[in-house]
Amino acid sequence: MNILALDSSTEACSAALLREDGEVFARFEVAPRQHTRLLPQMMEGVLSESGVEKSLLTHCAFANGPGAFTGIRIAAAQAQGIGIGLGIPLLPVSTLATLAQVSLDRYAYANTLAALDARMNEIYWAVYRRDEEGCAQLLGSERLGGLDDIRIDADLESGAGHGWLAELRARVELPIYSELLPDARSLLKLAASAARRNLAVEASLVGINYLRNQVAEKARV
Amino acid sequence: MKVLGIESSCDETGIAVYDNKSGEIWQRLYSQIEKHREYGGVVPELASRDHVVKAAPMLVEILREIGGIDAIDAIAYTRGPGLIGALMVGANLARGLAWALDKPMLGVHHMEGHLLAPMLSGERPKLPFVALLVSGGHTMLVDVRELGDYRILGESLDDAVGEAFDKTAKLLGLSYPGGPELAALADSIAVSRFEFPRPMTNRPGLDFSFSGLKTAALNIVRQHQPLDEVLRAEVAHAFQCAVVDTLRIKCKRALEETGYQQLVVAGGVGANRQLREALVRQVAELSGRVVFPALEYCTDNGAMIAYAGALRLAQGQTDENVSDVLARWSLESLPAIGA
Repeated sequence: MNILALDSSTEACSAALLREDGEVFARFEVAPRQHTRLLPQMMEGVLSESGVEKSLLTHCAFANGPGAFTGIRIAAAQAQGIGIGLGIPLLPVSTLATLAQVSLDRYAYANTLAALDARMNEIYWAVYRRDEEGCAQLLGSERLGGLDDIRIDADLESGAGHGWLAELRARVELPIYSELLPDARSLLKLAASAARRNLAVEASLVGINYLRNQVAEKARV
Repeated sequence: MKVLGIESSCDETGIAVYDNKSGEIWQRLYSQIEKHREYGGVVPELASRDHVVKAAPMLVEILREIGGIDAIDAIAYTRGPGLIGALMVGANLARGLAWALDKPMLGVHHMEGHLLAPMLSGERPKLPFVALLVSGGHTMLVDVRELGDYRILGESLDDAVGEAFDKTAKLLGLSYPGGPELAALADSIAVSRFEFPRPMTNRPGLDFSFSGLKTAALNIVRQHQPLDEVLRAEVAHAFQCAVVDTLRIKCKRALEETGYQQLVVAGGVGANRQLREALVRQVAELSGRVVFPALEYCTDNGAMIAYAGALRLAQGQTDENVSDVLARWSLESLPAIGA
């Protein structure tokens, strides 16, 4: 398997490549509003560094939300183009799971509550545990809600992401890594696991998980 | 050369392939109108969401028809003007494809696509010509001296003509987008007791203003509550007559000022029957010729983007340094297309 992974669902932008020998090549930059331009450069970078030909890519993975709407669509649309162009399937991976994976890859906790600031006094959040493969495994479901809606179980060991606003951090005595952002390198681990479980999707049929679906007021005619 | 065209600037997803040797076109068009109707107008975020769902499956269908992805030689997409989030879907789909295929890619000006849409069907205009672009987002008169060499002669200072149609339709209780329904209502009677002004026709210049017509309609609607069917038809009729007459007067003026013989009418409002008839009569009086694109190319579509892109790509123009999409983009700033 040679998997290319893209993430542009937050202010961070990243691309990574998992070569079939297990080696990972990655680019990461925090660069708001630069994603459209950066992604192709990053893809080119990991490809040439790894020596993998485009034609040998087997999957294209991308973070499919929740996160910044336009950002998610940048990676989703580019991944669709790559999938259709190369005739390879896509691996959509949750942005929150990716964020949790970043935290679990870096710190030795058994679980984490990944949270992203959704603005309008709400956050996207979910709890993940470390499974046998070392992958972030969702417990319960991904949610969008206000700070008061968040339940923190007694066995929670850590937190990650900028959704851990000061008010929320003040409610717990846990290590909280609010500076962590999703990263294609960690996304690859989840993508590879999904590929092994045959969860790849045809490029034209892939979906985005916005979580926030109330985005306009209906007209009163 | 087969060029893929991707249009996603507003509420229509258009995917097409144009072959510049054979002139063949393969296309798919999806309108989101139903999605936006209940909101009373285009909701940009919903438009973007729909593009990302619809564009790729439409692309796959077309690729199947033309015999696979390898038949594509280059990719054109709408770079602007339009809704940023919506434009980004098409631009990034194009970018992913171009990267995967190692094929050239070019961002196309949406209005240039409309200007050149008449070239896609039988009756082609000859250069130079005056183009009237009339749609839900734009109203302008353009001096087309050469392909790629455009000078804006006049444009709307406020509402676009299609927007004025939709807003007035809303005043009359028609659901969004009420423009075509308003036109049908207007055509249901022969005369109206009301007479609306012809804005900005009694002074020199080729600019337009349509927001006053909407206000004229509003004043009548307020004075005549509750509205009956006859009165609604009369307001619609007076409104449409004023719009059509104003456009006719300005087109006449533009042809006289430029000395050109030909008028090209593009954009969704170009499908309006009264407008077509009035312009045909007017231009015939001037011994000129008026050219309309086929109805399927009047609205936003991928074929016009593939066509405009093909002209430029054939001259070696590409997005060398990756460019961003543009909400605003002057037609006059485009480079020439060349011979």
